[in-house]
Amino acid sequence: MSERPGDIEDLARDLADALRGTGALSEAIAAKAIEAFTWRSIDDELLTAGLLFDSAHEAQPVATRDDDGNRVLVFATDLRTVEVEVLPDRVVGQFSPPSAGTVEVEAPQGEIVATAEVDDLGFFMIDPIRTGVVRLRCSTSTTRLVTDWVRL
Amino acid sequence: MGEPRRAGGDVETDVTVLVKAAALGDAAAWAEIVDRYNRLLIKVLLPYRLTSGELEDVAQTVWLRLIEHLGELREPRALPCWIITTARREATYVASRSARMLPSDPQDPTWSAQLVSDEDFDTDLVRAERHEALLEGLATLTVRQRQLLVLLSEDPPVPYAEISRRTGIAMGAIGPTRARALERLRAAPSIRALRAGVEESGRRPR
Repeated sequence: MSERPGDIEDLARDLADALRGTGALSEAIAAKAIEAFTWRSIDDELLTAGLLFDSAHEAQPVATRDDDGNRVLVFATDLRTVEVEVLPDRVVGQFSPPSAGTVEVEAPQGEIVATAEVDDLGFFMIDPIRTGVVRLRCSTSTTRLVTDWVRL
Repeated sequence: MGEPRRAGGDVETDVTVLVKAAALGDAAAWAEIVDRYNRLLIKVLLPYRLTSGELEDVAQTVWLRLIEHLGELREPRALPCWIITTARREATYVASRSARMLPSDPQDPTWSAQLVSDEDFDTDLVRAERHEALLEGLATLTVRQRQLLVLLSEDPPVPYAEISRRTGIAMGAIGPTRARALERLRAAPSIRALRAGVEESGRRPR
């Protein structure tokens, strides 16, 4: 097996090098991740709208470019999209196709930190918005969905 | 449905089985997924200039998003890749926001290079790749093997008596268990791929 006896010790040293710096926060992060599993969505009727587009990651197509440099997020299910623009102090968004409803901002552990009405054209504004990990829980007369988690 | 995991023994389970079980609501399977890949996730985030609060938020975002997408992962074996990609994307955004600068083109490599500290990323991509392969390989070991190699890698070193107490491995068995774990790590697909890549590039004319 060990055609080069030093090989394994090199591997051990490399591994120690790879692990360096990962210990400090690992327990806190793992504890939160494990805890989060207990309040995952188990509601079969609830659609998850995946993050389809994020101006922070992608080369921006013209249709979603924001000249002010704000972050634009598009979450989508098969039938419905939620477009969100993150401004420095608030979030504006639109349901498509347009319909009235409500949007709730959910923090980890299920806490609702803000609520907004959605008008007939599908527009909503959440003001102010706090920095942190959140997702939007959106309801109209016909659909209920949650977006992917994002850190605003 | 078969019992997917160890019941007191120390059996290595294929990640596909863990992902399927977790998607069905098995909390122990989820805990093992987190245990396997948490260090890799943190390693990917370290080079970005994040505060510890930001790093925790980004890591949490990645885990939360994975929980919701467990049932849709087409290829569970590509999970490490999914974690790395999602982590980089979110970290890039948070880092760019903290820097109060916005890229005209986020795909511009000079821009992304500015977001990470020089020492880890841009001067040594090869090392970063090797580290990721090692941590991905570490995830393929059994819980006990992984725990042992992590403890043995700590600096300052953890005394053997303490390692024995925490892992339940007898002092005299630490050496042989370590050797088996390292052999297994060396045989992990990510490490073999890395070695093949190095040999391949070594053969090519410069």
